[in-house]
Amino acid sequence: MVELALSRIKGLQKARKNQFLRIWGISATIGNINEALDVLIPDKNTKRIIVKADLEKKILIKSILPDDIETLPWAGHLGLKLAHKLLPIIKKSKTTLIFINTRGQSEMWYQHLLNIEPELAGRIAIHHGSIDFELRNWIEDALHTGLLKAVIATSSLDLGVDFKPVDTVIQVGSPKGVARFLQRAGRSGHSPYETSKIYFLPTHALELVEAAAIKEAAKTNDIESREPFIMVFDTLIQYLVTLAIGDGFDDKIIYKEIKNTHAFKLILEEEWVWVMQFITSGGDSLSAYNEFKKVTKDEDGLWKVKSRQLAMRHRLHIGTIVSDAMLKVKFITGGYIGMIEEYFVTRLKAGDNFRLAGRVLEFIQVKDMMVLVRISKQKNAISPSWNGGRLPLSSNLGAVLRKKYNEALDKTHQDEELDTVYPLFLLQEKRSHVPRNDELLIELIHNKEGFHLYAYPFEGRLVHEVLAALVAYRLSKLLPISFSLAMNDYGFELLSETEIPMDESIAYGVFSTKNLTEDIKLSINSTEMAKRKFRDIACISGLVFQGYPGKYIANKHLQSSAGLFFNVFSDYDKHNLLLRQAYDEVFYQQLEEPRLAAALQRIQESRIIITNPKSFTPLSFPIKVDSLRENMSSEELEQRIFRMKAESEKIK
Amino acid sequence: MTITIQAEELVLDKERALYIPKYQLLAISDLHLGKSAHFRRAGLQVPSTITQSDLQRLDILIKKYNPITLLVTGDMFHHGLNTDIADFSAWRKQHQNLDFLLVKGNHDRLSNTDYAEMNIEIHEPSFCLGPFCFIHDAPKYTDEQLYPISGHIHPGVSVIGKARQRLKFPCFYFGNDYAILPAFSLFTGLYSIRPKTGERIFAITPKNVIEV
Repeated sequence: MVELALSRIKGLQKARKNQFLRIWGISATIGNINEALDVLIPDKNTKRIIVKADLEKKILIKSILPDDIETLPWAGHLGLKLAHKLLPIIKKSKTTLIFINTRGQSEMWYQHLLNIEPELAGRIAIHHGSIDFELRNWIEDALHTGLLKAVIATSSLDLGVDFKPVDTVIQVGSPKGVARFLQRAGRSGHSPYETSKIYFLPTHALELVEAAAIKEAAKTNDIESREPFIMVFDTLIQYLVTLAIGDGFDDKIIYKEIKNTHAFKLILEEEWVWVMQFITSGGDSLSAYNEFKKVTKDEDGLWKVKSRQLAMRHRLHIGTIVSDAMLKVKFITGGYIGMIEEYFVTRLKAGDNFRLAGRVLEFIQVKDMMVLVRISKQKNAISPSWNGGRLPLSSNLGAVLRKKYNEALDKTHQDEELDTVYPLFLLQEKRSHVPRNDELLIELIHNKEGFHLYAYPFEGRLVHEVLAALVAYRLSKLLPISFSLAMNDYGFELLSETEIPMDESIAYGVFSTKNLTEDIKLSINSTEMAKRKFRDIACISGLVFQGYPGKYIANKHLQSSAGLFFNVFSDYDKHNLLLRQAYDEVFYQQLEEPRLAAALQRIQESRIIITNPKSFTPLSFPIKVDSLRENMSSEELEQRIFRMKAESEKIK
Repeated sequence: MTITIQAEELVLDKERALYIPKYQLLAISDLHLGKSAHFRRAGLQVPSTITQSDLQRLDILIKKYNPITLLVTGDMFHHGLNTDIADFSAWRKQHQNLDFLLVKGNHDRLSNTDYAEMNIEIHEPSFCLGPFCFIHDAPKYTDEQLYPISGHIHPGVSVIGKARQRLKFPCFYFGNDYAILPAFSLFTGLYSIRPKTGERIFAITPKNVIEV
């Protein structure tokens, strides 16, 4: 979006014969700074320069260790068990920022800190994206003046702001990337020559290994690259309609402008024609879009949106961060508190209590798309969940993590984290095996739930998602079988109700690089990965309309879902570029095929160890409890239903 | 699939339709004609081929069962008149001999002359035949002794198996007090229902109708 906006500003400058334009990009934590320059200013003939401060930023990283590894659960994201260890840190610091990965958990942490240390009342605050704007401003002001002792925050306080009194940062749970961790550390001691101080609080046992890995990556300044987006047609469509609701646009001029951006320099003439058709006539003539109305050519030759209603709807939809429909929360006596998701509201009954912005609120009713509440006398209440994305482990970290596993076993390290977690490694070794750098561990576990297969390539969540689908697909070619798939940053799980065929030769076969491209395509097609990607694409390109604020009923006739559009396009308009974008995003962004090929190559050269543990192991347990699952099946649908029915009757 | 309800034989077709041989009546629900054009007018890209394919499916059903009467239990038209409806008018002219009955639903807001022009017989709030009473939205209770057959909610059912397996299908629902037909149009979503004991649910897969 920034690239497109820049291209327009440049275009306007050129039209006014004013060639003088200076573009500045500022970043502290980006690994591929040269590529970033190319994205910002693709024209190599322009004068471009990278300015780097020759200043070493001192960062002190310390893990908060449990007295005993048994204190820490094997899986989890909350980490409240170690909360008491934060109190002395908060006490001795001037002001502490506590970063929590999700909004829902930050609400729980706020409550918990007040419960264990009532003296903090009035001196700590909570800050996240769903808290009302004015309230957040007040907190930021209070941070500047040093009024607050501690603030619990999510990524809402990651960037840009500089609060002088902050001298300590605490990160709860894995930050999943070196860049984000350093960014957050930099919130403390935020001036040259000062030292940034950050504590890491693990939420489950294996996160201690991640802590050791992050420390090492931070030391060697091994910061992740940020891959630029290319050929994002949903964003292009939104941009063009935005131009059309303004003064209108000349398609020839704009085509030239976007052709000069990094994101769309590879766009083909026919793709541009399709995008123009999509916003003017609905799509190509083959798929028949009668009566379609959106962008039309005006008498002055510019493309415009004529309907005021359409323009208003588009304005409400501008942006590329997709979230679920949100409702504002308001006191019945007046005053806004923040926002919660519509989905969460539908589960509330009058009199129910929930927590927002650190307060316990009693739900009264929804009126005019506003959630009306009053302060509750209850102490405890449920926390709303916001449907944010999950952060996958960056690829840089995966490799360091594998190395740390080896060091922990061999005791060739100086990390106190690894010493603490060592008993867990022993348990893993006793029940199954701890994989070494040149090994791939596969665990087969059979229990009441079914037959589980766990594999641990340590390549990060996104790669495992594709890898799990690939392995499931290849296994399902051997016999008719249905799987449910789960994954985390260490490995993935295939779960089936029938025994999964597996031995060494099958293992090498399903992790082979042979026919890779073709097999990946087929495995992506047989899961819902692309369909899930399409959810965001449908929102950004304006296909799915979330409604006007304050007007619920009026848009009922236009209600639909991204999933429905995905099916409709798949059935009736296969050439739709948005559909292709969904598949491409799985294929290129998520999968990074070279990385997957490299991983498989590594596995081919590794020893594959297959174990049959009697119960879950420290490695498998966190994956088992993960709830986000994919399905894959090679069974006949009717067969599958009969079998599922027969089983459920057995249970009864 | 053929089942017996209220001592009458009913045929459940995988094309989301119900046929009663005794009365030679074909019943469908929630056709939502004009929905895709309504979306297009509002600047949302939905192909018109979707309406055409709904009408083609209806053609195939008529050829298969050769009914005297086609009954729509509500939400036949999504909004106002538009090109989708024009497509339907043309289709209607090809089936002049067919009695076309509509039990009005919440979406059906065309004028009586519009219905008359398309040769559609209107029934409000219900149309009763034998032991059945066709109505758009099933009443919570009825004074009548008749068994209501409704539509409106676009029912779907999840089949859940071991090892966290889950599948979702459109379905027919036959409860103790009333029945619900699946939405006929393919451009509709699903509302999940959970059967209680004694109630019968028939899932519609791409190839079959299966009791679950």
